[in-house]
Amino acid sequence: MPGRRTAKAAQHEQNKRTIVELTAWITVAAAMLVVALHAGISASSTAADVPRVTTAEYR
Amino acid sequence: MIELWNVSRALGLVALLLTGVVLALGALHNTSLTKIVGQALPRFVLVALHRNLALITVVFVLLHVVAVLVTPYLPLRWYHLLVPFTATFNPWPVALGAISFDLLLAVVISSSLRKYLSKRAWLVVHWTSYVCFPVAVAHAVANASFRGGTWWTLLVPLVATGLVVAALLYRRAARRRPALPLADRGRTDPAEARRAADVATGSQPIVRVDGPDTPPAPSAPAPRAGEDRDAADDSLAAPGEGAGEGGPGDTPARRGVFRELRVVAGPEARAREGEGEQGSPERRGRHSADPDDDAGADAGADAQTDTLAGTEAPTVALPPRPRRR
Repeated sequence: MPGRRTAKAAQHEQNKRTIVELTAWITVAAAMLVVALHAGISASSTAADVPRVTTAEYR
Repeated sequence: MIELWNVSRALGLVALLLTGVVLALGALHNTSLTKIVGQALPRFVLVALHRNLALITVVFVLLHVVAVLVTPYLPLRWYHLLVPFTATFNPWPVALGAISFDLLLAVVISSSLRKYLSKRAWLVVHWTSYVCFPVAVAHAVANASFRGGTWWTLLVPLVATGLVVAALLYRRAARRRPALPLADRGRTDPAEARRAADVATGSQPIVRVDGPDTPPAPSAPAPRAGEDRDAADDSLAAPGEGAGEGGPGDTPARRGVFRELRVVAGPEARAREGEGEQGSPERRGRHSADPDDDAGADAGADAQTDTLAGTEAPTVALPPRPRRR
């Protein structure tokens, strides 16, 4: 049945588009989460949150 | 400098969260969840998402590593991040990160070279993801400060671990294909492959019950594809099972002899299969053009198949299939 075949091909194309769109949205969400986490860590960071590096280690 | 350290922490946390999502997708892709979700998203969409998100995770991990390296505040060199326990600064957390980074690299490289690897080797390496994730969680927890104000970042490894644990629990409870022993992963059962070839070539087994109750049917048609397939499969299970042996209507009159229509492989494949088999020469499905009878003859030319009406025209011999390790 050509109509059914066409509908199946269209559905397949839609599924492939879904993969790309979902991947892109998740990437964008991850990037925004990085920005938000960075802002939160910077805002709440205290001296105890910074790793202590001795002079010998730094050298 | 401190800002770059914070960026590196944020990148690492997001990479850990993405790793949890990827691991959960990988654990669920063989369960019935994909059948439920599959009404909206087919299984190949979930598999492609698993692959794409894994690649994005690798990008975030690389950004995390680069941010740590370029931070002048931290006395870390590139080999400290690849070889565990080489860093003098913060040795245990850095070593945990190096181990999980190495495992991640192994999974990514083996997946990139998957067509050159056997399925078993790829699967064994891929399963190290289940080691990589807890080590990465331990790296995140060990690097977090419990005294400072950023204790809340521990929520990220907690959420990621919850995702993975929930996925694994669902995988354990859900109905899925029966698990194969690791030694059998990626191996093809010759009998199963032969049965699949029969189905693929349209050469379904033909079953006949010869008995006093059965009227002679010299020109009985072969069952078409999909028709009486279950009955044929049941009869194929064993010579005595399909005839109702032990059943309520089990009488000697109902017992019969099975015959099959089977496309056989070429002499080389048959000889190769025969090396590992110690079966009797009178086994079921034996072909008239047996390579043992005449090793030099062309089995394809001499092939004759038993049908209900007697011997049939020669069939084409299947080329030997390359066996995967």
